[in-house]
Amino acid sequence: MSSQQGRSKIESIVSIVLLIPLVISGVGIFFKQFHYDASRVDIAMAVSELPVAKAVGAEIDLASLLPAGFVAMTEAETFERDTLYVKIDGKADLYLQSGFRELSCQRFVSGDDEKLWAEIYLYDMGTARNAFAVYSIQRRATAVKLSLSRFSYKAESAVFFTTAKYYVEIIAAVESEKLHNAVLTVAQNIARLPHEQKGSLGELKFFPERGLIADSFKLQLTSVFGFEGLDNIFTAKYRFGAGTVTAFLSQRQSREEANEVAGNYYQFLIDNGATAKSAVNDNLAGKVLDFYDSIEIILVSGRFMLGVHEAYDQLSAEKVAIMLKEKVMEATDIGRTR
Amino acid sequence: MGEQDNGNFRRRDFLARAGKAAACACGAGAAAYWLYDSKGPEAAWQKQQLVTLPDFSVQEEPGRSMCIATGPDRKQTFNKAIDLLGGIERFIKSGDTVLIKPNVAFATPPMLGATANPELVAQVARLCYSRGNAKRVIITDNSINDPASCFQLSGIGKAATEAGAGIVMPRPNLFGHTTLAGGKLIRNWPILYGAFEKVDKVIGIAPVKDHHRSGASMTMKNWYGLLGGRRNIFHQDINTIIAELATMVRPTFVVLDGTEVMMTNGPTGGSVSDLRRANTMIVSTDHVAADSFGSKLLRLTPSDLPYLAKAQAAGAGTTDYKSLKPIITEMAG
Repeated sequence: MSSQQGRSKIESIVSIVLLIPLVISGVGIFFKQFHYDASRVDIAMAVSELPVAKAVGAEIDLASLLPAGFVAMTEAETFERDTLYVKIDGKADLYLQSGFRELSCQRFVSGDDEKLWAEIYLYDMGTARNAFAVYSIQRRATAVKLSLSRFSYKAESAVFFTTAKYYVEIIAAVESEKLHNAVLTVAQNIARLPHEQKGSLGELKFFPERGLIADSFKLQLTSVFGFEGLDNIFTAKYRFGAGTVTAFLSQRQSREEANEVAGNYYQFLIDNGATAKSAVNDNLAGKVLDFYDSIEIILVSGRFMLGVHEAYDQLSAEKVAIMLKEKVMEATDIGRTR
Repeated sequence: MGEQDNGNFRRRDFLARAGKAAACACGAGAAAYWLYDSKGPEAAWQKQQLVTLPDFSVQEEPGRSMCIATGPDRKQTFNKAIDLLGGIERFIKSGDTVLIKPNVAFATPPMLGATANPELVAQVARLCYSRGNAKRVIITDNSINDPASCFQLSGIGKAATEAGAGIVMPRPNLFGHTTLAGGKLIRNWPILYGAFEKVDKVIGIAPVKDHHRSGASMTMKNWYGLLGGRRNIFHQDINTIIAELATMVRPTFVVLDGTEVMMTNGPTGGSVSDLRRANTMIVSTDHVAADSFGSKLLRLTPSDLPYLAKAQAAGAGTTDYKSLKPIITEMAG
């Protein structure tokens, strides 16, 4: 009898333990249903924008990087893939197409002059390669090189640079030496932080130095030169003769893929009105096209697809294409095996 | 043998427990039946009546639809342009309530040119009061990026307030749903309708900017700031939404500020090196014509911006701005 009572007690306790979470869940559901958010199922219902998370979990505490005399003006904010447009609207696509992960922002202000404020934009792009892509595409024509990192410059009152997987913008509200110095200090503090290095920019070494316009490198990740089938293309500008020539290079997974991409790009140009031309230089083992009075050259060397885009002088274009190919062959197995 | 005792469980116990279990199951079923809503939650817009923005345009006068004033001073070029179109009195009547919709999209400093110039906004408001004898001037925008910060940091809030204009911040109760007749995207979509209540005239003010998605952001794109909801989905069909917005809003006139043009990295910019001084102010009753001319300031052509042709096809204006015989005037630098 006592063992039956003991079992019954245990059963009751177990039942209560099981029932308590069920009751809590039931009560929770009951109250939650009074706060139904139609905007979750009907996007037109969302009058206000998506909630923006605070940077509680941000990897870098931006406020801790401010120089003396400056204080945080606002709380740090983070924007993720689905909320990035809230901060930068139509420019969000550029980042989203380039591997964007998270944006951390914070404004800071001088302790004794509220007009002296600036904002830090720290874009986590996932890899150094992605960070370089958005940096290079937006690089200003009036850029003045800085020594913060390999890729860094200032343009009037703003500083732009990459450090590891981050693309950083620090934008001052007004022209002021004091504010500009503060912006530079914050930039240095961010650049000095230890960052994990991910993604290489190894292709840059394949661009020959002769005639290269300094800091003209760009990395375009998608739909390059208006062709959806062309991605991951590095470009650099060369000064040759009176004009400039844009050289491009893309490392593919295999020789076959390089040939395929080159063939598709060639066909895209032909389909859009380009006509094939003969090369002037016999050493140019590639395709030359006239595309509405500009010259396009497409070559393949091992796993590399390379060439020249929108040049206006065929001789200069061919010269740059040959130089680029020779540099690739020299720096890779292709060159060593010959 | 009436009650079987196998050592720990009797028939009576079994029946009692089975009865309790059945009662619980019935109770749960009854509660579920009582609480079940076969219609599901009703979207709030279905409870509301759809709203339609009135037509705020004024009578057209041939040869006085568009003025292009060149010069470095925004106040001077705007004043001159509006005078040549017949004066602000042609557009604003005594006792009118005027809504100004500047581009206040970002919480960025005026120096970057990502938002409407605060001095220009203030000047338009002042003129509405001083010469148009407006009863009230209000300024609104559903800024995508924390409206209070946008109005404050862009300088527009302070400048407008000093000019005597009221700021209407976007609040949920100001939004009403609208459907654009023949529209593909603007269907049962919330717009900042409440701000237009009791408004007689509407003026749009926008800078000329490069735009990563649409190619350019000018007066037509500026109406994007009237949309509520998760409007970023319209970026997938940006040309259609801009054309539909231009069809939805019939402003009294628009002011396209090309004094400094954001040539690159738009729509946010980030450095004054993204700007080019073009010293051009356009005032027009036709926002399609204004933007068509504005495309030139970005070194584009109207055909580079597909939304212009779409808007023209929808009857929102003309891309052939020359057909309006725009008045062109040059101010001393």
